[in-house]
Amino acid sequence: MRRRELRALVASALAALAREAPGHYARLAELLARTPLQLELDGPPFVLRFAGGAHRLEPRAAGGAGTVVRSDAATILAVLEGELELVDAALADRLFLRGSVEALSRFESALGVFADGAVRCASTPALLDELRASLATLEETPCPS
Amino acid sequence: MSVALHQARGPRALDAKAALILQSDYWRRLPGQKEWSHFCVLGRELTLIANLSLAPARVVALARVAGLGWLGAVESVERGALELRGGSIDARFGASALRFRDGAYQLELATRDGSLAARLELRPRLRPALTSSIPLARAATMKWFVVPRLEASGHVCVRERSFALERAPAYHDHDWGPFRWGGDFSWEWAVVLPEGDAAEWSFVFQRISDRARHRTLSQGLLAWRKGGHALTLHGRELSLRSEGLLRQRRALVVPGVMRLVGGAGATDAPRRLELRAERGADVVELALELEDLARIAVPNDGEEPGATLVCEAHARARVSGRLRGARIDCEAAALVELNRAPA
Repeated sequence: MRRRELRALVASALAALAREAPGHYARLAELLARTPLQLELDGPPFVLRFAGGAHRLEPRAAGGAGTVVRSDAATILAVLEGELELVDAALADRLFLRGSVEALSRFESALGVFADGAVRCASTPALLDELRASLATLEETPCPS
Repeated sequence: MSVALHQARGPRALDAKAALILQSDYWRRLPGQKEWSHFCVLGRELTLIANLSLAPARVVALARVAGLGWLGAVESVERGALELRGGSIDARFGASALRFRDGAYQLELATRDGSLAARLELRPRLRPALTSSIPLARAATMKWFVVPRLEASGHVCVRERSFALERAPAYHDHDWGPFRWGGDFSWEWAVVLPEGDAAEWSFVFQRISDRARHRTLSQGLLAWRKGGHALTLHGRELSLRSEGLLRQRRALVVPGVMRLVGGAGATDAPRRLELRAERGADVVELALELEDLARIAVPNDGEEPGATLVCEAHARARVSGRLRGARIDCEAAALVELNRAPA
């Protein structure tokens, strides 16, 4: 269930970026045009591929993509909320990256462009809420009145 | 270039402040202009910052708790959750709201995750003032309405801790103007609100520079005493020097996702700012020791990628000198704001 939700959230986030921050989406497409990403996020892998300025999410092809990003919803949320640095996530084995130096450098740049665009999208808060809702580990801390 | 301060004039009764506020501190909603209503509270254990902003609509809520550090959020407000009308102070930004009743502001603040909530009454203690247009960059100006000292009473909840405030020193301004985030400007700003015997004094410092901070467009030190504006020193009457570098591991960045954007996690904030302002017999020396800060990453407008960093730094101030024949020598809580292009 979570796997499907995460993939759907990735699809929704990219669609929101294309719609609400097209300049950032175009830069993202340019950065990742030659770097398909195999994403393994709490489940079986899928591939994010940009071609002709647009993206596709595909089932993993035989052999997969050369650049692999493996993580989980809790780590993604922690990174997106600024509670965890990418490097710390990798050192804590919560984020696995594999690829050429150039490809990983492009991935890092792409992540920055994605974040810079996402904060400009009106859809982002609702998507983050969906991501939080997909995690049962978040506890509410009631505020004494 | 100096900042001209128009001391608001009106009836001398106590509620004259309220009348002046009602005349000037209302939402403009001018097309293509930024606008925000900003409050900060300098309590002993708690510093609170609340900013209700338009274009786009968002709420900044930050708190610094002694021993715990900074926390907070910047949250977008959906169109349907925004309730305000031009000409009125009252506004609702999602779960946060501002009203003006019985001569005082009533501020409700609530972050989406419940980690920060406040319900405060902020009662003005000084007459408000309105500046002329402050030049920021080419064709970009900002108007600044200021209530330099208020008393904040009420409750603030930060995570599991509840704080009761009783007449804590506070500051308010309302700014608007046709400028764009990412434009060719930056600023340093500070508010100093002494307590005890020195509470008759309040100070605000501002310096506007180009984005690279090679050229100063305007600077001023504004002083208030005993309910009124005492003096503004500006331009070449001021000299400012900075010292050291404020090093802070993992300073708060809001929104957190902006940590992924290059430069948003680093700021060349000084450890200390020293200001000297002098005109004839009036001399003020102000030293600000910055202790720690939180960064608000404001996305640049338009197609320009990246963010402008607005850094809110908790500071201790030392003020000494002589103004209008009165001697000043005090320490005070202070808040310093640095507007920076990321390094």
